[in-house]
Amino acid sequence: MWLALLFPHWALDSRGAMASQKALALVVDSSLGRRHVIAASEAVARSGVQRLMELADAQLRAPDACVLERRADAESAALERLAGWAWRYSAQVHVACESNNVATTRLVFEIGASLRLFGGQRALIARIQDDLADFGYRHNAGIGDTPDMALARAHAPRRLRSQPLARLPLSCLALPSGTLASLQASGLREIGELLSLPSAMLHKRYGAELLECLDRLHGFRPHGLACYRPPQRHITRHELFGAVESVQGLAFVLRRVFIELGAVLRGAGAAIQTLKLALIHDQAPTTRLTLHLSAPSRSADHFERIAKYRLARLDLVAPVLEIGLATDQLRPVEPDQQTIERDNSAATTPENWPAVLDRLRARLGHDAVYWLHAPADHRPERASRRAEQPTDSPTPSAAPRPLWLIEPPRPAPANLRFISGPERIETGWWDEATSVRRDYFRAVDGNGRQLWVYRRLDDEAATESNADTPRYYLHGLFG
Amino acid sequence: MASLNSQPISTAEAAWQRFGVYRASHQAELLTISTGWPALDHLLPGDGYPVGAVTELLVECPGIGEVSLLLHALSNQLCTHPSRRLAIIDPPPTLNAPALIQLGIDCRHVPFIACRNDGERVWCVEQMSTAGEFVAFVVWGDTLDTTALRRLQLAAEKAACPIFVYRHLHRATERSPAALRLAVTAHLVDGRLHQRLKVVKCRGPAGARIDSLMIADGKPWRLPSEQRDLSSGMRASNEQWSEEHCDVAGSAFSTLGTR
Repeated sequence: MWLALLFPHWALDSRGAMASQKALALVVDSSLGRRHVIAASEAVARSGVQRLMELADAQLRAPDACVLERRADAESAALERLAGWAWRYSAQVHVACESNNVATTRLVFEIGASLRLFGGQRALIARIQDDLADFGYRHNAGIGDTPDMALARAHAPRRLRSQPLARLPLSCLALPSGTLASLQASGLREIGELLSLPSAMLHKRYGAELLECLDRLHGFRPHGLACYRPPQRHITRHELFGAVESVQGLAFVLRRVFIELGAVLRGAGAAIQTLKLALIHDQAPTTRLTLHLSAPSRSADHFERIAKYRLARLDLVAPVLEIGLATDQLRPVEPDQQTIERDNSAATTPENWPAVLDRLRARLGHDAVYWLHAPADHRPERASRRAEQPTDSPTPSAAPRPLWLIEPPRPAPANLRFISGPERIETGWWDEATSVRRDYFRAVDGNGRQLWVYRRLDDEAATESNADTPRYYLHGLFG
Repeated sequence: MASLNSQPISTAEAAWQRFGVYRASHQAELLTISTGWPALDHLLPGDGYPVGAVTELLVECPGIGEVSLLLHALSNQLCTHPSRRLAIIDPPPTLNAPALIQLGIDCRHVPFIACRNDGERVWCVEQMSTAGEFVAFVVWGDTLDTTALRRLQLAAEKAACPIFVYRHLHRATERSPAALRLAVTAHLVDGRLHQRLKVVKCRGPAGARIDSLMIADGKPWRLPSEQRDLSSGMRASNEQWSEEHCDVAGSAFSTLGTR
């Protein structure tokens, strides 16, 4: 069983789905020399504007409508994204977007194998309709045993859609326009009338093409549609309906972008860990944001929350015209496992740590969350390092080390009372800048703090000659 | 293994609690974690730091041993619950990884979070409290106000783990919603280091034993030796402290500070 979706106003819907329902807008195509309307928002269509109407004509009927130029590449990119969404319902997805005939922008996919998973045909169709309504895509849907049959239903006018295939008008079939006109001139109106004619006669009069088409309609020939394959990474651009000047407005727009991304990821059974956002301005250079997630995720809500915290730290230099989105490689995810038993505590399941970590980093900055680890190095300033993720440490030596490290070391206070020492640390000679030749002591100062102080061996020669007390440096506290 | 010193609650007791009846014996069911020092456990209500509450550590001068005092308890907790984390928020200078490992802490389970202001400190504790699976939160926040401490208190209840806040000793005179307030001071007496720990405020009925502990001769956290008649001293301090804790804290503390 196949489902065909046709998008009559794709040229507009694919650009700003939310806005197209409210705003007065129409899209014109000027590739054929004259400018004619190829898509219109609902309000404009209600005022009588029809497809392929000339722009001047349309403007008479809807003088307030905002006129947009067609962008074929953006349309096909958006359709590609929609195919990613359909991947969730089916493994056989076919998309096509013919630039010369916008009425045939279509998405066809096999649903027979998915019916049980989604709880029957009615539930599945309802779900698909809900999704499309969320995206804001106006569509005509048709179901049939073969892709061509489904497409024929989708092409049919709404009132005829529940009729048997034989009762549908001939124009629903994807026939060459010459053949169609010739058939109609011979008095044929419905598909059933065409099917009842002897095939030898049809072959003789209209050529093999018509027969092939009819064979595909019945499934006697392979449908020959190219199947969609999910991409390795997700890179898209979203044109905004008007320049967005505030961070709040941007968050609103991003919500739609992320819902779409989430649908694609869910469809592909994949998750991402890095998300790059490019905010494209009119004149100022592009603002680029990178969102690192601590664990692969595909939840639109999670992306949205992270982006919100990240945007809160951002000063918009100029209004944003377009948003670019690029992900790292899509990686397969294990589906969430849930227990069969109904658990009462499930309602209050705590959020997982990666999600919280991402929120902390989004608001405080990526470097604000860190872990310490102890690389094997005798130089105290190199024996404790920050890392942006938990890192293994070798077992350190048993020599006492202070809990606090004071970087850079500063002159130690006077009146020290030494407890133990010296511990000589003399290493790093291969590196002039970080070479260490020191004697470390534990000492107590007047405030009752236990200090870790050192004396530089290089100073010793100098102090002896000056008969001065050796200089001590405070390098740590045994807090 | 038994890290939570709670007693099993009887059914009758559970019924009382459900109806919100306060009972003085309620204190026996305080959920706590051991401090790691038997003498200190003995001193505190419920025998340890309260779980699901804020504990304030008031420090005279940073670096006098206030962190190792706490990490002693937390490293035990981290060993008992290897899947949990210990979050350290805004430590003033950098902590030293080898010293943490020597204390038995697995640094992979200790995230550090650097914040710029009090609002962010409280916010990140609140965020993390939704994630669960924490041994404790340790916050450095000298300037945290009462509202912030209350929010921390709520976060502690939500996360069901203790929150420790380090503040300066002079905050002891201010009111605080913290469940437990400990003051840590250190002095050199006759050239020897004496660290002293005093309970400024603790939860529970007047039966709480308010006293101080000290480190002397390298043996940590004992009852002070100069207090000869221990029982009478405790009784005296009980009378003094069983009133409004916060208010008494100020007056009693000034004497401690000058000693």
